[in-house]
Amino acid sequence: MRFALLAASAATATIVAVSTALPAVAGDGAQKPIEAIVPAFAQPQTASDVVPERVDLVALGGIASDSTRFLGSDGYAEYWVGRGNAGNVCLIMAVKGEAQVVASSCATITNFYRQGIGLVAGADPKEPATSAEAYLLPADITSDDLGLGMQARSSAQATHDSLISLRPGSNEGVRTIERHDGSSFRFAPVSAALGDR
Amino acid sequence: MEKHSRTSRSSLSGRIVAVVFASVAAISIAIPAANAATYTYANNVPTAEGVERDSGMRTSITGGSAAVTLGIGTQSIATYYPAPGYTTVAYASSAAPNPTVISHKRVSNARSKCSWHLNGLGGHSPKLTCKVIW
Repeated sequence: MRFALLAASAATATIVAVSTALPAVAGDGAQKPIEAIVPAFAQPQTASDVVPERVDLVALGGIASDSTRFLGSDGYAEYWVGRGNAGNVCLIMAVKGEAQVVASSCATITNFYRQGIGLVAGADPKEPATSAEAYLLPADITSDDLGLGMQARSSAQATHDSLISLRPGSNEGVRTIERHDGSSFRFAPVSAALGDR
Repeated sequence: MEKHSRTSRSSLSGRIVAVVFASVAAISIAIPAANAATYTYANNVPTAEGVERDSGMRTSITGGSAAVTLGIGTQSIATYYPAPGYTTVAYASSAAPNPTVISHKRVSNARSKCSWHLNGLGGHSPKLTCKVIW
């Protein structure tokens, strides 16, 4: 009986711990449901949202397979958003090409609200045709806010409004946007800088 | 009567435990554990901007990850074949503090390297953690 009570207590504590590790809201003005920050999560997952078999969601950050939502594709990659460990928001990028490169970056909801997620990946940084660059933005930030409207939409197909896809190296300069709630959004382009040796 | 009461309480406790464990199991299934095999070649190592940490030769690599304890800047991870004939198999970069992860087709006798950058403005040595996935 004592064991049963201990086991029940431990299990209950585990549930509470897991529940609190999956926050629906975040601080810094982001006291909103995740669907309000990432609208793609407001829709149920469909067959087209499921990632192909070559995308190893466990290796990419423990991303839950039932959480992925397809954001779009362009001539260089396909893009999804998902929920990773502790409920983090993850941008997933599957670069087209023989190398089968898949990359991800996951942010806490608070960090995502503050700066989004930027990701550059590919087979060779010296060969732009083998690389892709993308940014996932919170719902209240648009590519127009960042002055990237036309640039962001070029060549994109069925791309979600929250996703910006660019050509690597085409974007420079940090931009800060002040929100109505008093917080700010900081957009920082990702620069791939790896030496050859 | 007392025996019946004890049996009921015991049965009830058992059901509670069963329900709780079923809930935990369901949540555990919904949150897959990161169980890919990894080798950490930079473990929270203070690293200056632009300095590359290297895994050394690995018999098999399917990806890697990099994370730097910095609120701004970019961290990068790459799988490559060294000189002569330097060739990059795959690379990825993302904005810190969000970790960068790549996966790619399995390659043999390759290496992994990682670094971080802040347009030459990084004046100190934040801690860099990099792993090979194999």
